[in-house]
Amino acid sequence: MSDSELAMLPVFLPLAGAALSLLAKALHGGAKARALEDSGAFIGLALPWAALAAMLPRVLAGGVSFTVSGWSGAIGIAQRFDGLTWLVDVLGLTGAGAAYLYSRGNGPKGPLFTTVYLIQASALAMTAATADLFNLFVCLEILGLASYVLVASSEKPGAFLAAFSYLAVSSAAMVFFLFGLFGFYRVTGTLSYEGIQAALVALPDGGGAIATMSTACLAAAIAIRVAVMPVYGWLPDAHALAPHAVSAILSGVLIKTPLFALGRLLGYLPSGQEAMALIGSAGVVTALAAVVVALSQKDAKRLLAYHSISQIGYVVAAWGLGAPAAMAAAFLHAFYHALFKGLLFLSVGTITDAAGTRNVYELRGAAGTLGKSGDRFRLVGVAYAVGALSIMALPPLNGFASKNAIGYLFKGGWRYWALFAAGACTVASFLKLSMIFLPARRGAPADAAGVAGSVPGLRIGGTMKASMLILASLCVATGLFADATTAAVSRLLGAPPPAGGAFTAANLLKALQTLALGAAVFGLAMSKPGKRLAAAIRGRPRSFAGLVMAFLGGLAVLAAALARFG
Amino acid sequence: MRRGKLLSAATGLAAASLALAVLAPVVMSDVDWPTAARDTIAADGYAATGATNLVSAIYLGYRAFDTLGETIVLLVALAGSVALVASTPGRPDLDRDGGPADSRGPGHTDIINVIAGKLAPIVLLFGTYVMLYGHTSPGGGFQGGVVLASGVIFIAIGRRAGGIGRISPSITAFGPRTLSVIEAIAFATVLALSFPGSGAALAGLIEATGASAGVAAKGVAAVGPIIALNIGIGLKVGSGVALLCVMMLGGDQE
Repeated sequence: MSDSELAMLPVFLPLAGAALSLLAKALHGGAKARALEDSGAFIGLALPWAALAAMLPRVLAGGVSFTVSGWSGAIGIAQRFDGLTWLVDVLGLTGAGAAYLYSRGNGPKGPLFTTVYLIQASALAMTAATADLFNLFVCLEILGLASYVLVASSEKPGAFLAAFSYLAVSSAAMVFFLFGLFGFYRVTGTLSYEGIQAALVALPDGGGAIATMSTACLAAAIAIRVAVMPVYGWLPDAHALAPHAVSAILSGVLIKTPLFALGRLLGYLPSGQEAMALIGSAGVVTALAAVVVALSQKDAKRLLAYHSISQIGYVVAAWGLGAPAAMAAAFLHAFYHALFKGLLFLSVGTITDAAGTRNVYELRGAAGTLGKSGDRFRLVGVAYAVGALSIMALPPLNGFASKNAIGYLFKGGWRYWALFAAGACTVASFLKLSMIFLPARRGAPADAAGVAGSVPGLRIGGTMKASMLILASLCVATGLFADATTAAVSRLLGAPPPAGGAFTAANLLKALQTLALGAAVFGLAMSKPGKRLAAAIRGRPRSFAGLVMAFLGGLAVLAAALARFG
Repeated sequence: MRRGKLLSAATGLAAASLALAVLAPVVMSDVDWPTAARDTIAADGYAATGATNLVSAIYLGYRAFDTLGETIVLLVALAGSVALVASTPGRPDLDRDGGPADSRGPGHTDIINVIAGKLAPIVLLFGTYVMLYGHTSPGGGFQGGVVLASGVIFIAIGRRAGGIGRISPSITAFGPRTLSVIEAIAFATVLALSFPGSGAALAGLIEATGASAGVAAKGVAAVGPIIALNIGIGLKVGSGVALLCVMMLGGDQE
């Protein structure tokens, strides 16, 4: 098998799995259908690991560039399989595999779900490797469509509306993506990133206003998928109302892959650096603003969804710097966030299903409720604790390493302090969420499993436990061996090896400070005025028109800023 | 009420002006149109792919990977819609006699039954033609598939209670089950043909059997992979769209 065929396997293996699963759907049940579906899932989610292992030596040797099926570079579809592609594939497969395992226990089940899920896994790999503008459009379309269907596969009230509003706003944004694509094709006559770069350099004005506006259109359309401020409004509903396994992959993986694809694209464009810097600053604001909103939530999964926006803000902030070392920090946090946020969605989802309520202010005695649903060894509680301590950036877990790596990039500036404050609010927010483990109040119904709204007959089965166990062990392992992981990621991204380790005295002191400040913020948030403020933030008006205006406003600001630089 | 409308109008106006301000430089530019890709395809397209219809040379040759993606978009969209339709309460119910309840509605007359039944084979034949000859004439898998789907819909309408369509409701040759099996197999075919190298392998096989020796002698690539892709896409699109429509007619409740 040639290098280029090998590099396409992470895309084609999940598709082959999807084809098998589609056949299983056509058979309408039975042992054969189940066998087909299971082998489809194995081919789609397990075998790509072998392809990635085989690609590693080639990636370390500098990566592979090719056009699909070997057509000429001027017309064919360019692909680039390098360290970034490899890492983003690892992120996608880890998140997708663990979440799928969970779905086998707690749904959604069935060949249709597996088919769409595998197609999404394939589109993630496709997005990571593409180096062609139109191909990127196709990738984003598949990613989007698969997520709309997966969100709607939840039977919760509001999920259809959440999926529809996500569809409407990102489809509207994709129109602008197409305009951007048209603009670049108009001035350069090619669709491959390298071709566009070469043609723009040859032009006297570097593409002029068309190139600037097209860059803004492309970047804004992809930023919607990443859910950075101000275009994050679709995410909380979609991620909170989706089935837990889908929430885990949406928050863990789906908002990051487009970001790294955008980074690859902007690296080739003349005003790309400026666009990245601007989106990066928006990321810092996102990290802080979203965590404040998260702190005010009473729905447990919505709280987690706002934290996804906040954490992606950290990733985007580092990503915006563009340098390989910053990219390594951004990837590390993206990867760790996929692990711990996946873990949090799965564990909190299990708890809320068992308890029958998602209200953080009401749900108490979670450990006992879980025990009644078959979690004898408190595994779900431990999984939650690992996830919460990771996102709170406490040593020795992985969030500690990546948040410090990002903080280190901004040492001394306003961004550093904004991210520090966001970290403290994250601590406060998870102290609040952890109150679900407090003993049940007197007067509350003794048998929480009998509350209306709990999933009838929920048994916390082996696959659910296994998926949480895998994610929790990865959180601990990447935390304990943070320095080795950082070194490996830096090497794959061509960044210099980082100076100093994660566990320095200064970082440990900072963790203590964050914890103390977080506890203070938590106290404020739980006070009467704090609760009133939280209710006001929760009740702020949100509308679809607001989503559209936020997108267009963001686009206009980006375009104006790029035009000024240009 | 009136204030709300005014506010909506102002928002809409602001949105439109922002969009226009960004898009105007892109669409109103007077830069020369690019010609490089056009000229390359016009010069080499036929020789490289064997397709005289250069549109199919592009979307099933040079950029077949994008087309695979678009096929997947269609697959997911149809699968999602089918799931939505299946979970919608209050769809037309089938009689025990074998016809959907709405066959008695004012829009469904004997004339429609007769014409739909008679037209079905002609439409299916035309769809097959459009699907098979995409490499030489306008058409191809996507277009042919949709025409095929309309043929299946005609059969479904023609065979309703009171109609004289020749396929009785008890025969499920065009029922949802068959359609989904065809869809799954066609998708697997398109996938297999799209994997880098498999197109070339198929072309090599065709040349080895001498089936297109005449064309190969002129230095033109065998067009077999494009025809095969057209058939796969046509069956995939046709069965998928037909499945959705048959379900909307209540056909899965037979």
